[in-house]
Amino acid sequence: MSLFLKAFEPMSFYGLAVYIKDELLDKVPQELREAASRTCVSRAYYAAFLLLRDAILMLPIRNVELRRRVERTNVAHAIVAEVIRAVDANVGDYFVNLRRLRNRADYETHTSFSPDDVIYALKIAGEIISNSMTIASKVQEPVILSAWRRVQERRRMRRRGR
Amino acid sequence: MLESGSTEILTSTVRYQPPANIYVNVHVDMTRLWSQDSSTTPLVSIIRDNELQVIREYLKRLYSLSRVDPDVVNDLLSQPLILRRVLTLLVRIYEYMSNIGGGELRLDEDFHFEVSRWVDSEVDGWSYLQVKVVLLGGGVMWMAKRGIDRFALLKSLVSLASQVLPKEVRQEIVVVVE
Repeated sequence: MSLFLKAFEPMSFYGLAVYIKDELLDKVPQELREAASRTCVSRAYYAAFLLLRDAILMLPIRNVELRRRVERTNVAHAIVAEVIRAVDANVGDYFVNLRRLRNRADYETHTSFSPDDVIYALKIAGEIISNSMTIASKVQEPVILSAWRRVQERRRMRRRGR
Repeated sequence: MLESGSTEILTSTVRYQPPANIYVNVHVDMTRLWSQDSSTTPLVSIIRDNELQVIREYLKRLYSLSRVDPDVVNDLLSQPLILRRVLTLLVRIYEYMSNIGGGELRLDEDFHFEVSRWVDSEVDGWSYLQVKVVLLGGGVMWMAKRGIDRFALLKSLVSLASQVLPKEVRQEIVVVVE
C-alpha cells in the first residue's frame, strides 16, 4: 500500500471556482472580470485532474518510472485522461472538453471568456468530480500501464505525422 | 476516378466540395483494416475498385455533413473502419439535432460539425480525433429558449457516441461541444 500524504485537498480548487463564479464575478472591477473567469475555469480543471491523479497515486504502482511520470511530469494529464477514458468513455470526453477550456483560459489571449463558458466549465468539472470515486474504484495498475502505453503510442504516431 | 497509388491526398478546405479527384495512398495497414485480415496477401488481390468507390462515397458524405481538417483526411483514409464509424456518428448526431429541433435547427445555420484533430498545447503528442459540434448564434438562442445548455447537449452527444461506436473506436474519438 503506497503512502501518499496530502497537505492540500484538490476539491478546494473546485470550491474556489464556484466561489469566484457565485460571489466575485459580479463584484470584481470590469477590467478584472475576464481574469477572474479564466481563473475559475483553470481551477475547476485542476480540481478534477488532481482528484483523479491523487486517486491513481494512492494505488500501489510498482512501476517506478510510471509513478514518477504521474507524480511529477506534465504527461500525467494525458495519462489521467487515458485512464478515465479506459474506465468510462463519457467521463473521458468530459475531461478532454474541460482540458480544452482550461488550455483556452490559460493560454489563448485572442479569445474571451463569457459567463456561459464559466458555467459550462463548472458543470463539466462537477460531473467529473461526481464520477471520480466510481472511476477510482475501477482503476488498478494494469489500467494505468495501458493508459501510459497508449499515450506513448499516440506520441509516436504524431511524430510520424499520422 | 480513383487510382490506387502513392500520391498525396488532394483535398479542398472549402466546405461542401468533395475533391474532384481522390488519390488514395494505399498501404498494407489499410488493406488489413479493410479486409480485417492480417495476412500478407498481395494488395491487388484485396483492394477492389468497388471498395475504393465506397471509400470515396464515405468521404463525399463526410464533406457534405461537416468541415473536415485536411490533415485528418489522410488519417481517415488509412483507417477506413474509423472513417465509417465517424460518418455513422455524424449522421446520428445530425438526426439527434434534427429531432430535438423538430426541424427548426438547421445544419450550417444554427450549428455545424467539424472533424479535426485536437492537439494539447502543453503535453507533446497528446491528441485525439475530435467530432466537434459548434452551436451558432441562432442555435444558441434556440437552445437557451428551451432550457437546453451546452452541457446538457454535451451529455447527450457523448452518450450517443458510446451507444454508436464500438469500444476500441470510442477510445480514439472525442465528442466536443462548443
